[in-house]
Amino acid sequence: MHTEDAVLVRRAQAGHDEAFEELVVRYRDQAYRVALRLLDRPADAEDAAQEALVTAWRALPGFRGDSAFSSWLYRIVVNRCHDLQRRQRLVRPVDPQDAAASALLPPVADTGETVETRHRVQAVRDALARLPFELRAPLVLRELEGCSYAEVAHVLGLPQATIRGRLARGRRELVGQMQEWV
Amino acid sequence: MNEQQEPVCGRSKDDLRADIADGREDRAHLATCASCRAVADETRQAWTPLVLLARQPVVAPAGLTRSVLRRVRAARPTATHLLPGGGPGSTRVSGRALARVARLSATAVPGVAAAVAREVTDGVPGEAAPVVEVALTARYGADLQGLAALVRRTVQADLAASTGLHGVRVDVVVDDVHGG
Repeated sequence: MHTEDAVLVRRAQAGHDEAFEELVVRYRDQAYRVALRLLDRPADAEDAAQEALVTAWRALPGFRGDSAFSSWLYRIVVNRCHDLQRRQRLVRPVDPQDAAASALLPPVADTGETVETRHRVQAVRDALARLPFELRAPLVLRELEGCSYAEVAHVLGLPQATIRGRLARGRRELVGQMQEWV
Repeated sequence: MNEQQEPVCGRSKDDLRADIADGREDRAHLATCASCRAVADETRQAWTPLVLLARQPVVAPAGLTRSVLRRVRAARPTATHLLPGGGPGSTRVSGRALARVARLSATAVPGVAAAVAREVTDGVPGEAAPVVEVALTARYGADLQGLAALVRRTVQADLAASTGLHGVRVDVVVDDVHGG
């Protein structure tokens, strides 16, 4: 049976680490996936996701449950990724061989997709990585994670109007970069 | 970047791109407006691979869970308790082990849909007798008071049988009910 997140959170807050462990199992993919989509480097994404989950455990006493646990976790991961990027001042490598995340994909022949499709997907990942973080984060949450506009606004702690503005700028940038790639 | 003019019909490119991104483009208008169609086409060139990227499954590496749980467990003080009898040499059991026995024991009680257990260490000094707390999801329809008492007796009996520790205090919290 599926115990609701809110029940697991309450139990974890009472000190039941087993309940927190269940939350980790439920949300580890989400934490890692959004970090990977924001940072595009598997090792950095794993670090950020790990730090975020441990931060979530420590911050549990202050979590009042006025948002879903998954939204709260998104916020922690996004902040971690932003911190990591600022600290490292990541310079985006132009060489596609350097994008280690793509090395984790199965060979093109096994997936039925064309080489061109894979190149286009890599190109859009590169374009995303070139965006400033404040434009990349709303795009990743909205377009890759499927969050609603309201949830994106809540995760980033910004008004919806600001989010829509950043999405418009990000989309404009992304489309422009993909035109140049063609 | 090539900044073309806005479409002649007066719609903004930003709004058009938002429509494409949200999958609610006005097909009737696009059929008649060449400049909007051009914007739509160039937007789709970015959006098609973006949708493919969104669909790529991503799973967390196995090491992630391990490292998180290791750090969480390390931050939690663990007590060990001396077990009676035997020797030469002492046998101790950790609070975590007691909690595991308690959880498995409680989960098997009819009327319990799910259970977690922890050793209660807040306010309990070093060598004091162990206290275990079980939090459980009861099946709908169970008599909650009777269920809690049954869980307490069952957990105590299982702890006594497996460790020799008798009369371990077992606090029961029924904090969830599962229907059907």
